[in-house]
Amino acid sequence: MAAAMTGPIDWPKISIITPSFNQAAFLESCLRSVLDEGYPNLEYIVIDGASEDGSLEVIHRFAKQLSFWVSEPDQGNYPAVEKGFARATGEIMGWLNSDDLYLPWTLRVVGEIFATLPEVQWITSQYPLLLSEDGLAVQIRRLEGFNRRAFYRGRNVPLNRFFYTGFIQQESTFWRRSLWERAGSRLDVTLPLACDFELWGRFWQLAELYGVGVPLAGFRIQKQQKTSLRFEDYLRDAEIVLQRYGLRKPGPSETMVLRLLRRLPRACVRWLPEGVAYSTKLILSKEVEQRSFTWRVIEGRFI
Amino acid sequence: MRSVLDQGLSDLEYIVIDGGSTDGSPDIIRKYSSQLRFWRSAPDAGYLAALNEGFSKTSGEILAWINSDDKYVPWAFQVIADVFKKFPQVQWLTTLFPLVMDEEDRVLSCRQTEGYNRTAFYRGRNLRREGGFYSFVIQQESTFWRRSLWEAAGGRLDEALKVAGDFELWARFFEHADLYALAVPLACFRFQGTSLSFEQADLYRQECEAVLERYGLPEPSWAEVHLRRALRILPPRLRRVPGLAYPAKIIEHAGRNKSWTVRPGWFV
Repeated sequence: MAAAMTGPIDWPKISIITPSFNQAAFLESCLRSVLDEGYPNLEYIVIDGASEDGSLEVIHRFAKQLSFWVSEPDQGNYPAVEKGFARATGEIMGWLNSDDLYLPWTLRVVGEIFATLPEVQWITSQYPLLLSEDGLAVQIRRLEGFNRRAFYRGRNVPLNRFFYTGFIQQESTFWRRSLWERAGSRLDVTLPLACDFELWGRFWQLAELYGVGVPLAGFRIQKQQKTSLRFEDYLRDAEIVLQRYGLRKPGPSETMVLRLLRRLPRACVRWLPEGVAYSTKLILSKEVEQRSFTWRVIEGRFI
Repeated sequence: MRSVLDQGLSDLEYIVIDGGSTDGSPDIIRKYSSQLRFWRSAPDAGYLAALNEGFSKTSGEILAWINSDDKYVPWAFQVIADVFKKFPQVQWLTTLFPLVMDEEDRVLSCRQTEGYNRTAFYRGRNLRREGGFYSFVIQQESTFWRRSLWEAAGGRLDEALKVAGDFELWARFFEHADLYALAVPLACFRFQGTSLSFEQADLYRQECEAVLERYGLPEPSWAEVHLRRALRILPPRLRRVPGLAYPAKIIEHAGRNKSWTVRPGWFV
């Protein structure tokens, strides 16, 4: 935590997986968003499921900059991610779907946070960004934070509109290898849609999620998207995951109380008992003397 | 320069004015010169004079400038073009989410501002100063305007000032049109040890204060400041006290398969 941002640091090795299948129109901008940042210690792995739409030509063009790539028939998106992680050797891990984008600063911010804050096991962005089909930013929201108990109560999936506080955006989420290994080094591919959510369920058993006060990635909203086409199915999968941890759905009276509490002045939120309001850990940059910056952890609270 | 040119906007007119740099900057500019509408490298009469020279060479419908140490985000121009096309009533706009980055292009912070308002601006709300009631600066590199507004406001930056040319321009723009806040980030301000010395920051503030004095709106009194601070703990809907809450104009995206929309915002 002491290292100043402007000083040299030992950049941790980051492993990124991109699963690819017939998304040639978006693949190049995805690969460029990872590679163009020039992160000094990157292991980038592309797993293609034998695309036939020109994706291979794109991968060939970037092959020199990839640590590993393969194109062969596979079982789908999440099995491809898992296959990539089996090859990954980095200290920090994450994956980026072939239609999504990192931002020009993502990997250095992530590398630096993990390098300077040893207690942090996994992070996501407090500012999830949505992109239009042609890759333009259309929406950014500020989320108030994340909390284990809130997650298991279903606050990170829109099962109930008044209960929902925001998704954990997959492409903005990064973790340490040690956490991945303790959580079993695998994705649960029996859930065809909400594999990411299932992984977060296991991560939460082991460590707190920290919210970073900087946007880290963009999610492309497509008409043809797996998760948007079958959004209802995603929610159903997510609910199955939560039931494994004993999901208690909010009843009508609890929902009503919550709606009222959410109108409370922000200053009152800190007086509510934990469990009604939730504490959250946030990572923000803080100015230190001589106009340099360091990342620091602060506690927040949300209803 | 890459953050401008890599946007791949087909209808871009990019002008670089260099004040005779001797650190290799002209070599960088020359490398991209085929993509520039105009460039020159020669000693000039200062920062704002150089900007005026640059603007005098433009013919575009939408105008903006970016300092050589700041950067646009990759989608900035397309989003700006879409929004100005969709809303003819928008004369100028800035971002609702200003980004700050460090010397190595790492973004350090993203903040959600509350929007902008003419009266609030003239009362010093966007000027950071000792004891002032400040909320957010108008981030210069994220601000874009129509040529018609630029011409109505005099078509130049005030060279009588040394550093606060942007703030003085916003003051004139506000005489003609409301400032809309667009709900996506557009550019990064680079926080650098060397970007603005303490003396310059002081000079900037003095020049801004002189600008605000021309408009003669009262600064909020001690009581008003505390009333406003107290109102801030209320839920947003209850803060809309008539005569006290400021209306702002926000442009945000309405969601999947929809488009940009304008919605009112309020702040105290």
